[in-house]
Amino acid sequence: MDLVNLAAATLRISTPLLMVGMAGLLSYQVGLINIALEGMMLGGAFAGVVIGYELGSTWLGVLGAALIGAVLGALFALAVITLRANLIVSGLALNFLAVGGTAYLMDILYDQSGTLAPQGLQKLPTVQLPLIHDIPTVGRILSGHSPLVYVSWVLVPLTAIFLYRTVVGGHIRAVGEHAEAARTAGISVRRMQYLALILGGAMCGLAGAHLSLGDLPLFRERMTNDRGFIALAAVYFAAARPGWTALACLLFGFFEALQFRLQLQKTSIPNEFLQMLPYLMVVLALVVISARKEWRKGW
Amino acid sequence: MSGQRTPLPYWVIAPFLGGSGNLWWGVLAWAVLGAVLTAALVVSRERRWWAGALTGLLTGGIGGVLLLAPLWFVLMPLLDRRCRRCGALSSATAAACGRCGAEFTERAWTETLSALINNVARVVLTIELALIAGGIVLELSGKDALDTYRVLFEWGLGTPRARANSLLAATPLILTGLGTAIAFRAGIFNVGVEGSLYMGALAAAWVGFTFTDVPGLLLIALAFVVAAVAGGLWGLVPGYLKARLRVDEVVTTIMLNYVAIEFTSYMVQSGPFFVPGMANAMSKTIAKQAQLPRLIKGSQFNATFFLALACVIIVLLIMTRTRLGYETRLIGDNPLFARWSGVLVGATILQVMFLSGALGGLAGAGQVLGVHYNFTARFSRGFGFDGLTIALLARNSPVGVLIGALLFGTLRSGGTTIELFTDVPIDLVDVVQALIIFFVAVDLNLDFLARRRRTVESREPVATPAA
Amino acid sequence: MTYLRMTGITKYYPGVVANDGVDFEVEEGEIHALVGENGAGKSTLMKILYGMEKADAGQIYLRGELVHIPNPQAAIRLGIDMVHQHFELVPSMTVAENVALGHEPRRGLFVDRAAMIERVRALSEQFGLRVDPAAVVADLSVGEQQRVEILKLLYRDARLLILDEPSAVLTPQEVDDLFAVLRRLVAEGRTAILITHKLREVMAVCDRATVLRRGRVVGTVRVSETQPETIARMMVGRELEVVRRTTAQPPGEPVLVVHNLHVRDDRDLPAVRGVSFTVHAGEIVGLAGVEGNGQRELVDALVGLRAVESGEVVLAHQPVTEAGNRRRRALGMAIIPEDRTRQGLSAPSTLTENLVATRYHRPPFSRGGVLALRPMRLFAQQAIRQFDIRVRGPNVRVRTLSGGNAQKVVVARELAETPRVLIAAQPTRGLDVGATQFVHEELLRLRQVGTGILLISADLDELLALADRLLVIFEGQLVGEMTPETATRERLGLLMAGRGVAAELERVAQG
Repeated sequence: MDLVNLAAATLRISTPLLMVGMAGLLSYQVGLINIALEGMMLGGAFAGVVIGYELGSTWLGVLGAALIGAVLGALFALAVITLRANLIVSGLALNFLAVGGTAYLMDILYDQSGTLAPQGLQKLPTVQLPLIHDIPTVGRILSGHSPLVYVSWVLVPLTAIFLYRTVVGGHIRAVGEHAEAARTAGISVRRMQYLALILGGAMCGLAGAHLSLGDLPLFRERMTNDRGFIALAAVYFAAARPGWTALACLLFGFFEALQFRLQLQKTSIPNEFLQMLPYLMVVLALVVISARKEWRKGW
Repeated sequence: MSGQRTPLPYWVIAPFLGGSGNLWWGVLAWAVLGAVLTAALVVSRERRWWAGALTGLLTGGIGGVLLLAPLWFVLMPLLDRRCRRCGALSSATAAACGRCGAEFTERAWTETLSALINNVARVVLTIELALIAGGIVLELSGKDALDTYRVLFEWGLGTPRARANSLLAATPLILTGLGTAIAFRAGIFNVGVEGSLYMGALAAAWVGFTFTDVPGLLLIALAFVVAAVAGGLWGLVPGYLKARLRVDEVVTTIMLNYVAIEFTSYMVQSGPFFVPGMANAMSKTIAKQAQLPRLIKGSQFNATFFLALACVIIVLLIMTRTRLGYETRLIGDNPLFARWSGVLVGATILQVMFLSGALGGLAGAGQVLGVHYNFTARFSRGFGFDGLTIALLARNSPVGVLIGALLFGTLRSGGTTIELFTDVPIDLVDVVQALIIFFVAVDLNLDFLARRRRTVESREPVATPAA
Repeated sequence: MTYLRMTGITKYYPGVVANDGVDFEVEEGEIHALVGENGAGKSTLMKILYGMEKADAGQIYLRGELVHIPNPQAAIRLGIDMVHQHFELVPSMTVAENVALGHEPRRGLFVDRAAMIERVRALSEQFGLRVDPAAVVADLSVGEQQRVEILKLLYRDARLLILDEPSAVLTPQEVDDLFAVLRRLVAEGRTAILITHKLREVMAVCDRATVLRRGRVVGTVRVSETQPETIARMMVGRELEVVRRTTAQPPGEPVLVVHNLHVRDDRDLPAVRGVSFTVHAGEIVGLAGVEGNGQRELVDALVGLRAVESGEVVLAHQPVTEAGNRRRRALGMAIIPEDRTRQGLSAPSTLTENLVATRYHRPPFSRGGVLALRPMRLFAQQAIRQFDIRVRGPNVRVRTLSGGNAQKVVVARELAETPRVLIAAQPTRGLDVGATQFVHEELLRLRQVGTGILLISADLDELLALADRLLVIFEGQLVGEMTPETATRERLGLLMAGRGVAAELERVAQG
């Protein structure tokens, strides 16, 4: 097995997970379990292709994806915060809307079903990191990815700094942990929740753009493939600490990359079991966390 | 925290949903909407996009009025009560006479009945509202909403065969809806009925192609029972985690759905049930005598539907007449209180989750024994999620689930045809469904708000926190 | 000079007038007590002042100027700030972060941490509020957390401080510290309003006191010129009489024996540390103590809803240390829980469903898993009559009931079949005089017929009036035992404060 390729694939596959993971982390920290990550990502992926194609610029497509992601985040926030809809139910609704809506629009706008691969739409250029590119093995792993891969790396420390060092980040954490305390301190709970969800939506949109523009410039129905849930799982796994969340995302990315390799190699482990792995790990993580936290608690 | 101002959307949306406040306002709102739209349509002869949007609105508006008006203008006045002291009429659910304030004695059945009507009306209205929104989407994308809906309902309800197909489509939804509702009623947010459905389907298929010597009826019964047990056991996994370790069930059930899907795929794709030479990932065909006969020509409609109907009644009886039902409701209403009263909460959660999963398993078995005659990997078209939507819509009432499932079944079976006869993509049905869920999410909460306002008010004297 | 004037404040809740034309004045630089029984309308009045509730009528003047306070932010801008009974602190953040929350010193987008910590340290030194600005709030004791709350007010430069029952969770030593801080604050020219129903505190620290009763002002007095009995009379509207139970009776057999019980709290810290006591049939044992000294965890463990770390519980001669709630109830335990609305009742359920919640699983209410609805209804109707619950019928939803009526439902359910042991936790909290009397009479009736009762109460008068024996709990340990005849408030107070323990132990050793 080619370890270098595996490492490079891990990085590529982890990118959307990292971005969505940070989005999930933001909403987790503001006290909202975000089931809708999946839908925001799918919306972003679709918008990336459509906008990129219509405006003839892949970069504008990326921008548009982030924008549409943010709009979907705002929509979710509108439902959950202003209309005070049930968090889980409206999250599921947004996911349905994204799946149905993208397929519907694809048919209406381009008379396509299943896959949308517009002629002439370029994928994002790869970036050759200066200096690093020339280091033998490391260069092949770290360099030569789509620019969004590097964006996702920057996003992790940025999120951490935002949450733990800035004024607004502190307010977001206060709202998530003890909304009443924040409210009495004059912080607008609603504004913080809107902010976290919209920022998260934009990140999901970027993740979607990576999927639809990063490798092959095309959109497929349900192409996000439950990455939103896996990222959410990573957030749970890491108890919403940025570094650990990123690590969990990389781990899940590694498993997925490994699974692709193994699939090609015809190993004895059935493919389906590898597919199951992240889901089972989430359940396991929740069990461990709960067992530790709730063991003695009275009623 | 009280003293919050009432959110504006409550008053805007509530009347149209009819479930949140006084239903009279709902009727009025729909009537006004219908009237305005009719007028608008007559005035605008030209079919511009907005006129078309109005057409979409109308399909719902008039329907809503037609459905609600008889319910509320005819049925409810029959239930009105006359005050013994002053003779004035008050509405059926009033606690005291509107004129003289004399308190009425309790009449439990009116409350039950009005709750039922309320529930039915709400299910219908929410779907109406989503159809309207869907109509607007259609018109905005340049399609003829009225024509699309005509096709949809013609192919959902127009002929005996269409009706049979709608009932067929409704069958698994009734079962998954019931399974979800029973868990919801206990306050368990079980998203995992889909997983149980897969497990049940696989188990039913296994029974069907393994015990080929068993006579027909017995084999069918065996397959259903084994499927229910398999689905139930699968439901027990998150149930156990919740009951014993207090692991949040929302995430675990979502995750376990994927595990079930992958596991069952493996079983037929490369595992023990793999059939060499089969192009698709599917199991062997079940024994001839286990295949439920098709009851209507040209449709796969089969006896599972009657099993589902029986399950509606059984679940209704369980919820209202048994210890388990009482425990379920108590835990759903106030788990802490249940615990302090000596209810064995953990055991109840396990039972409820088993039952919930078992109903999902039956749904899966019905698809195998009555429709596919084998187990096909990833065969479910989101039956579990449709069931979830329906349970939310019906607010966990078994009768509401039945009605919701019938409506959904019609939508689904009619929806498959719209792509054939119009140029509207079938994904429209998904969009409509998402809208339904969204309206339900908002409405659930509005109702919760209304209830909480009441609770806060009446609670003030109950527990004024220290002066 | 008048600092704050509230005139004609009226606030309705459905069926209740919480404030009925209240006129209330506070002078600059005074500590003003707002006293009254539970439910008198103190908190409502202060919530209106703090912008958390909107008054239905009335005006607020600050330094003679009419002000409008729509929300707490507006109040804070006007220099009015409040320490809530339940602290509003973010557990994972540090003291400094909590104090500065919402008003952090900035450096661009970032928090200027050094400046923040410095300011908080300076404030804490200036007012003698000892607490480490860098400590994480979750690790602090309750007393320290309260200091953080007060620091928060000072950081925002509050001129009028409202303290809602600040001593409820404090030891007397901490209360004294708190009062010292308060005096320092008013000496600086700030003003404080102290919501309380404890006369001792009014006498100890306040300049004037306004008494509320049933939503109306009874009067405002200057504390130095008033006897505590006068204020007490104003509060209750009747001569303070000690209601003594009728007869002494010899205790029967032991029905609840607790031996060397250790229990941990939600944070996994020891909350009950080696408690032993016995309750006999026909005896009321009172448990006195400042709230938060392990009473809650003790009750949880006694009723079988919290794991016991070590020790033994014997109920009616049966060891039940590991048993769950249902088994204990089967052996004759009844419970009046502290939190009536959450633990004692299910608001969305019907009266019948609430009344049968502890007995639905046995005949005649159910057989073979099937409910018998008729016996349930008959039982409910019987209970409604016997306990005089004022409702339309047995299918009424419990959330529509008033406080007294709701507690009657709890009492009816728990006492319908005479229990062998009753655990009554704060059974009269928040009830009006009539309902309180009802509960007291029921407790005495049970005692008469041989039930062993453990009465946990924060109300010393209640304990002194009802209990045959008094136990005092402090930091999870029983620090004293006495009869009401030998108990004095002073002695109880010392014990509840954890002081005089040595002396008491000595006395016990000698006796």
